[in-house]
Amino acid sequence: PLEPGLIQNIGCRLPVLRKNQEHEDEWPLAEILSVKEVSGRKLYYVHYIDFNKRLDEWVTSDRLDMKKLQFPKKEAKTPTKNGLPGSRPSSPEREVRKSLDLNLQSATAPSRGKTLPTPKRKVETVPLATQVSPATPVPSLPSSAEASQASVFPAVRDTNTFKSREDHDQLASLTTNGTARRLIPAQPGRKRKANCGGTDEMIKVLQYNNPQSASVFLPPPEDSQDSSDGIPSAPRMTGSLVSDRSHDDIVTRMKNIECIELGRHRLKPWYFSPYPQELTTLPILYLCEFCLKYLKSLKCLQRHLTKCNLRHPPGNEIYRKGTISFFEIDGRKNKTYSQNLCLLAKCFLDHKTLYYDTDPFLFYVMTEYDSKGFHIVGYFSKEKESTEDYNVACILTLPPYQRRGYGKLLIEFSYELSKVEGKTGTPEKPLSDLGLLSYRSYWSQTILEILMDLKPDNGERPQITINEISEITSVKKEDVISTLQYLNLINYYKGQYILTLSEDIVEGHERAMQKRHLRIDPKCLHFTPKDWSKRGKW
Amino acid sequence: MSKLSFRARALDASKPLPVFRCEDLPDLHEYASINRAVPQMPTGMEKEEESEHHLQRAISAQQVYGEKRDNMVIPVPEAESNITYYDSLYPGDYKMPKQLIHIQPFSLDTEQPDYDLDSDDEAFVNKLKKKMEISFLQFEEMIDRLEKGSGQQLVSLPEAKLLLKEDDELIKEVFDYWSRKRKNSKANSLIPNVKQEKRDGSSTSDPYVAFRRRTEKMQTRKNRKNDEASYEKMLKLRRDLSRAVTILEMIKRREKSKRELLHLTLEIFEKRNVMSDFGGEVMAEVLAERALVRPQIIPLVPLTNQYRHQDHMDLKDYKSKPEKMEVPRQKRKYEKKQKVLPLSSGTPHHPGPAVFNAKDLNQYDFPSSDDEPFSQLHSGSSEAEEENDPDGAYAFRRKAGCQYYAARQDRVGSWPWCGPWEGGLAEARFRYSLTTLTVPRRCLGMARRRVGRGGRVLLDRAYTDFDNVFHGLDPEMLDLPLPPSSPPPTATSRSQILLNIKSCRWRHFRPRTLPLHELDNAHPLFRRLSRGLNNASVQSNYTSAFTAEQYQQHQEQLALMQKQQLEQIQLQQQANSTATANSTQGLANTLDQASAQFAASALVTADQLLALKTKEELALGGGVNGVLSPSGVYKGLHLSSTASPSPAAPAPPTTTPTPALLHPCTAATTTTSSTSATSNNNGTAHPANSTTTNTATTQVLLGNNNNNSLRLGVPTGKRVHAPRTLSATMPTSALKFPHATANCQKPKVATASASPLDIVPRENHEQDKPALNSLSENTVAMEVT
Repeated sequence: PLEPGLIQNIGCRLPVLRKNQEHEDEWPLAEILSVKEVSGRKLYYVHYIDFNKRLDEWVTSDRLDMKKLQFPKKEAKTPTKNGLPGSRPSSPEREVRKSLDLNLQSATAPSRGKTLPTPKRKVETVPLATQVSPATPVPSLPSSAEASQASVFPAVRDTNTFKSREDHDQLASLTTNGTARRLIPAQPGRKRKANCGGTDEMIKVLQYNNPQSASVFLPPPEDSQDSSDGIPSAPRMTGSLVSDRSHDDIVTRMKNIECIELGRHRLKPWYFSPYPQELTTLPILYLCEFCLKYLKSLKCLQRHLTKCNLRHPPGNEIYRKGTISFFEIDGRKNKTYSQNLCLLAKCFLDHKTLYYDTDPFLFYVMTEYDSKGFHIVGYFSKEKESTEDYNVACILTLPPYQRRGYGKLLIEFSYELSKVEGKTGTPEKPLSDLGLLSYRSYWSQTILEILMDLKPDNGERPQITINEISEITSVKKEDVISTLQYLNLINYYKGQYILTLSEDIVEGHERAMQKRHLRIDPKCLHFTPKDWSKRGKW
Repeated sequence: MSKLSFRARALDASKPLPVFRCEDLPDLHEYASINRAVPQMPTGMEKEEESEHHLQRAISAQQVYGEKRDNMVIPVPEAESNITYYDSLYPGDYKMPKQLIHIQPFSLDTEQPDYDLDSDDEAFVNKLKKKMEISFLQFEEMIDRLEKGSGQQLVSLPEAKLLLKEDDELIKEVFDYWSRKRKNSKANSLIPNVKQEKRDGSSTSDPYVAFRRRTEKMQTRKNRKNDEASYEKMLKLRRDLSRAVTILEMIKRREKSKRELLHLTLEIFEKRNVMSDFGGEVMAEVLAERALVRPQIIPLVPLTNQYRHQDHMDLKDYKSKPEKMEVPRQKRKYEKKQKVLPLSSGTPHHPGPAVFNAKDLNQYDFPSSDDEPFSQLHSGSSEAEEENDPDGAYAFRRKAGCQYYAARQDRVGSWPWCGPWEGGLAEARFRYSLTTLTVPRRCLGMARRRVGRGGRVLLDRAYTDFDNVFHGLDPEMLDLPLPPSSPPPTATSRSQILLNIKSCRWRHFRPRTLPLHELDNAHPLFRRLSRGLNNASVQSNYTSAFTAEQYQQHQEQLALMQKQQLEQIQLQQQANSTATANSTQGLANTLDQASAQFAASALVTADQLLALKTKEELALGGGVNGVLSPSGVYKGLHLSSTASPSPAAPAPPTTTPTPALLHPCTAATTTTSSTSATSNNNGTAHPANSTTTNTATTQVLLGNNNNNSLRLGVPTGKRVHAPRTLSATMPTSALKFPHATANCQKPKVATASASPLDIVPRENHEQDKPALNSLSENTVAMEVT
């Protein structure tokens, strides 16, 4: 029932008004993903470019700056752009970067490790190159994609000269918009590969353009993405996360559940979750707090509660200290709960895939006890057998409990399990933004704790190998190195690598550790790892 | 480990790194240029997300301030935690166990229904509560069962009754409510469920499909051989268990029947006690009555017309309420095993066929255990499916161990009774001729015989305007010798016809059941019969004279002949004299009793023989008239032979239905005109509906293959040769064939009501099976879940 005009707007980009955390108005660029009409008013589902999808929302038309509407198709076809010198994304600098990245990866992630991101990037560089080669009629679409990126982070553009020139006109239009400029964050010290983002962005743009426009300049998406690896559409059967989302339906890019009521909490989902479709139209989806069964109404929930006698996750409690407990649930033995948990978790985990069953996973659910029962706070899942040293598949602190130290507690617990298993582990990739921050924070604190505690040995400087850190913490070596780098602790001094602890680091660490009162007590863990490989099937 | 662009020195994870405080190394900054070469580790994030604004801001904030500031935090959609009714929803009396919680396996499998009552349901149940007993939980359980019992097709009411244990009235109410609700719901199920993958792989990209099985590759990854072997073992185990379930199910039914029998016996006893029937007179009376009323199978020796009529009515009753039949049938079935069937005695017949057959036993033998047992279980069990499947209970079902061949197109129609245009011989003995049944003794009118599948003899009946005359003919008269003198001038056309018959100008077919001693010779179909016919030197003008090319010519001849016949009839009626017609083939064949009986009994299908041999041959030895016991073992023998004129004569057990055995009521309902039907029924002459212009090729099916024989009998789309053969074989007949002059209109065939006598037992037969099936399906469903 959409007017043609509305459909054409899908895929377009334009500034959309939103409040930032300081409650100020800003007009970030957004892409229109969908349009609907509710009681005579048009609502637009917008994705703010370079903001996480969880902020995507339905907005009314008065929040759209229609004057600055960009049709990606038309821009891409503008002949003047095509003729601009130096508008090739495949500039030498980029090439070098790419190869550097790839080398780095092959070097740091031996053999099977981190295979996921690597082929993806390889795949993407290929179509990119073909598209910008002069022989192909494909114009400089990447420019528009990168332009949008640049509009948010113009500072990044300094390193990529070709971009500045190429997007001159567009940049102008955006920078004249004062709010866009205000978004520019300071980029101190940290090197960021902003140019890499453009590639993905472009492909995404092409993918989600409306069909007519896409057909003009784009080979079928599957060709560009899939032909090289030849993988049929069914995803791999290990792991719990997907990074290649090129097959994603537009449906999965949009939140489908408006609100979830879980116990005393009402949660606003962040992402799509494949709850039964008939429940997606409800204003509120009700979940049983303990078995996580989904119900369409409060009445149903009430009825369900008369029958559901669970007051804790349906698994074995393997840890309890104070009010915090952990329950272990076998994804094969307790499918219903595992699936319900996954459906809930998917609402908050963008890259989580529910494509396959839960059989090969264990779920560790962290709960907090009160007189009503053991309330779920968060969980992480873990493959029974990981071929890639993953000790965590998905990890989530439910939104009401976020920013209170539970995430770190979950991470800490996952490494305690790895310690019992005598293995090092790493979370499955890709990490989310919050995941990266949490893990980095945990790794930093864990490693700094060790480094600070090192005592001088016979008057010598204390010293430690990366392997030792890894063994003590069960943090995988690569993660140790990346953390040391991130903290800027590794320095090359007088012909050798040293670790240096600056005043800032030490102070910051001490402050953080004071706040970190929730800790896992290994003595309270009652866990015997099972050798799943001997069990035949998980 | 990692390469440096300037120095080949890699960061060695196993090499000790000294730990310095920055203040101890004031000259560190001089080495900063080298630091630049330290490789960057990937963050593990998606590139596009890594660049997201809020993340970058948070990262930089962390690096600048050493910790995140509140406004540098990545914003997330809000969550509230102030649900006011929370405390009333969840009880707050939970005590933390002292020990760590340990879940016992299977302790979670509660029997609680998955369906949760909503406010609409609540209103409905509250309303219902005023009328009958029902609790919310009970309602939920019922809906739960209905939902889980429904696959693609919804459960039907009869199935619902099997599915639910509540009383009928309640089931009806809830079922109606559920059906309505289900229809109004857009969802696949009233119990919301995550979409499951489709087996055909069409759901690979459906975003709402989740938790697909990953069995394909994983299943036999390790120890392939072992896995396959154990898989097969599991299959076998499953099959065995399924059999056990079937057997238990049967035992359950048997015991129920036993109990019921006991109760009924007790009841009878009490009633007799009340009636002071100590001598058993009332009982005997009732039994005798029941013997007459109850039988569902044609009585072996129907004594009078009155009784026959009652049978018929009774059968009709059964047909209209088939469900009610289940219980008595079960009981009968049980009884039958107990004692030898007293066939010749006056004991009541046990109506209906046997309940079980081999197929029931095998119903749990799934070819592949993994193939969605649910869809299999629920397929073919609901009403809507039956609508799509017009054959219903008669639909072709493959039988285990049978090989099925495609029909041979080249052979179709080359039967002796077919015309030459169908490749047949149009043999005289198979043409339409006047037919008289021996028992009941009655003239049927025009009919022809042919052999149906399995050797069953089918009678195709043709309607003529003289049917009322034929039916009124006293068969006894036919047996009387021809009166030496010509009939008196006042004789009606009836006597005219009678005369024609008697003087063998008309062929008259009177089949009889073969006595036992004749059986030994009874090998080829109709051998003796045909010999007898040949001996009677029946010669047809047209025997094997036709080819397909001559068909048109033949038609013309026919028309001419019919015209002549009409003229003759008129002449005869006017002149009231015996007309001598062009009797080129006028020799009628009154078959002697022996050959007729032989003809009737010659048809024995292999499996019937087998069944006889293996099962009840001794018991049947004394069977009357070759009528097989009504036991359901002998499917297809429902219309049993009653041909033997004397009840005392020991009939061969192998006798199959004879063509002569056309039961009046069978024929009756199959004719197109209802008036003639009733007249047939009573065996009285009724004025037939003379305006009927269509030939009624009535089919009487002796056997259970109605569909097949119907198709055989009436080659639809072709011109039917019935009138033609009629005219050919009865040139002197004073019959009018209005349809024939209308150039062989396609006769109407009463297909649906082909043979109530035949259908009824079969229906019962079939009804039993779904009942059993659905019952046992239930069990399986429970077993599987």
